[in-house]
Amino acid sequence: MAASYSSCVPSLPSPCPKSPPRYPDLCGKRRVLVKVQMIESEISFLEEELKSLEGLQPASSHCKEVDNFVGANPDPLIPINRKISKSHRIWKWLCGKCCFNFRWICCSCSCPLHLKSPSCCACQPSVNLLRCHGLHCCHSKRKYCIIPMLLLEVGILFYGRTANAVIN
Amino acid sequence: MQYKWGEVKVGEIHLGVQLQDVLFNHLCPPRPPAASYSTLLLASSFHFVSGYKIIVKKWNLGHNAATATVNALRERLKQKRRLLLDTDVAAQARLQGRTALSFGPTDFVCCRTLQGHTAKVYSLDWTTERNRIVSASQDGRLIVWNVLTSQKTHVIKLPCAWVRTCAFSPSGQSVACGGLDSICFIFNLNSPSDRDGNLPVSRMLSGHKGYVSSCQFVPDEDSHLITSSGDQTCVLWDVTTGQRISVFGGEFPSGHTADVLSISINGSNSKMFVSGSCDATAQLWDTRNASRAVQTYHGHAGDVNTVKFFPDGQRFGTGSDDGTCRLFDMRTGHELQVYHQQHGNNDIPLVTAIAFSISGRLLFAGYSNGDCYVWDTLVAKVVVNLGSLQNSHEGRITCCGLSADGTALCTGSWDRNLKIWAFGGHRSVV
Repeated sequence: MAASYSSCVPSLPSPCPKSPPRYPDLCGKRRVLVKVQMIESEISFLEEELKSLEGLQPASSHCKEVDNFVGANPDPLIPINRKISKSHRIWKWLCGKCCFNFRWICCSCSCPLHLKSPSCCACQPSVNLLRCHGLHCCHSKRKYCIIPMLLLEVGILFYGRTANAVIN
Repeated sequence: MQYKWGEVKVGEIHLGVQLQDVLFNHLCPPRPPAASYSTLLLASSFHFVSGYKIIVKKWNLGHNAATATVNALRERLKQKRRLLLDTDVAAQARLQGRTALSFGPTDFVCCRTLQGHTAKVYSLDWTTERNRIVSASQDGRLIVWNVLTSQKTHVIKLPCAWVRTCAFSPSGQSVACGGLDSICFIFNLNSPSDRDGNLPVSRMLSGHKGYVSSCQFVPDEDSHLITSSGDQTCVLWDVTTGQRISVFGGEFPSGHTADVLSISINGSNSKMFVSGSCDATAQLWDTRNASRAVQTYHGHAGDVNTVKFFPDGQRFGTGSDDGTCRLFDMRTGHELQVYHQQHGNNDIPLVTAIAFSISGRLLFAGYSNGDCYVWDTLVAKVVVNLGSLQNSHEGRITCCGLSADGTALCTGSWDRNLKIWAFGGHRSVV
C-alpha cells in the first residue's frame, strides 16, 4: 500500500534556496520599514495639527472677515441701488413722459438719474467693452437724448441734487 | 535537510538572510554568534516557519496598530474641526441682514464670442493689462486674442496637441502651456516666426513624470512658473534656465496622494499657493519650504478640479466632482461655506472651473453640463445662470477667468468658443 501510494504521489523537488535579492530590496523588509516610517510621520503631523487647533478662533470670526471685506470693496459686476429724493421723482416722471411721447428720442442709460431705458432703446452690447457696465452701454444712442437731458439739467440746477447712493 | 547559512526557503518564500535578520532582530536581539545560528537553522525548519509566521504576524499587528492610530487621530481632528465650525458665511450674512443680489435677465450680457478654435477649449488666461487672452485647445493651438476687437494676434501651433493648460507671463510677453506630454513649453510672443510661420519654443520645462494639468506664472516674476501634474507633484521652475527650483509633494505624507489638477498662487503673498487634487483635498504650500504642505483641507467628496484664491488672499475657493464649491480659510483650515445646488436627478454636474469677482461677492462656477452659475458668496445662493442666457455656451465649461480690472468674465468651453461676459444692466432707481 505504502509503495503504491509513493508511486502515485509525485515527490517534491528538493529545496533549492536562492540567495536573497540584492538592492533594491524587493522582498519586503525595507519596504515595510519605510511604510512604518511614513505612517509614523503622518501620526506626528496629525498630532501637530491637533495641537494647533487648540488656540484657533471659531469659524464665525473668519466669516465676519469675509463679510467685511466684500462689503468694503466696490464691484463693477454688481448692480447699484440708488435712493433718490422726491424732487428727482418729478423729473423721472417727466423724462419718462418725454421718452414715451417722442419715441424717436431714447432716454439713454447715461441719463444722470440712471433711469431704465424704455423699450424703444433696448440696450445693445457696447463696442467699448470696458464701459459696458451699466452707465454707458447705450453710448451710441446718447445723441438722441438731448431734450430730456436738457430738461433734467435745468431741473437739477433749480432743485439741487439730493440723491443718496445706497449700495446694498 | 541542511541549508547553507543565509539561505532558507520556506514554501515559495525566499527568506534568506532577511528572515534571519528578522528573527533575531525582532524575536531575540541581539543576534547570536553564527555557530548557534546554524544550529538553530538546522534544529527545526518547522520552527522557522512558525517563527516567520510569528514575525509576519508581528509586522502586521504593528502596521495595523499604526494605521488604526492614524485613523483615530484623523477622526479626532474631524470632530475638533466640527466643533470650531460654529457658523458659516451664509448664516453670518443672515444675522447681518444681508439679502441676495438681484440681477435682471439682461444684467449679464455676452459681449463677445471668440471663435477660431476647431476643437475643445481647455484653458484660458488674461493678461494683467491691455485686455488680451490666451486660450489653449485640443486642436493643438494656443490663440492670443485682443478681446476688444476679437482679433487673433497670435496663433501658436504646439509640438503636442494634447494641451491642458496655458498662462500669460506677468509682462504679457510670454505664454506657457502644458499637457499630456508632461512638458511645459514657453513661447516668447515677440520672437520672429520660423520659416514655417510658427512661433518657436523658447524654453522646454521637462521633469514631470505625468501630465501637466495646470500652470501659472508667479505674479510679478516672469522667470518663475508653478505647474501641477498627474505625477502628484507641483513644481516651481526657473523659466530662464529651464530647471526645477522646488518639487512639492511626491512623497506621502508630505503631499498629494493622487493627480494634482489645479493650482492658484496667492495674489497678496506670492510665496503661497494652493493646489487641488484627485485625492479630494486641497493643500497649501509655501515655496520656501517644499518638504511638506503647510495645511491640508478636507471636505470634498470627489476630485478637486479647480482652486482659486479669494481676492483678500486669506481664503480660497474650490470646485469639485462632488458638485460643490467650497470656501476655505487659508490660515485655520476652516470650511467657511459650501455652495451646493440641489438637483432633482442623480446626475450631479461636476464643477470644472471657478473665479471670484473683484470684491469676492460673486463666485462664477462652470459646470460639466454647460451651466455657469453666478453665486452670491455671502448668502450662498445662485443669482444668475449664464448657461441659460442668450448666446450661452453649448457644451461643458472648462475654464473661466476674470479680467484684471474685474469688469469682464471670460469662459471657455467644449463648444470650441470663448465668451466674454460683462455687466450690461441698468442702475435701477428704488
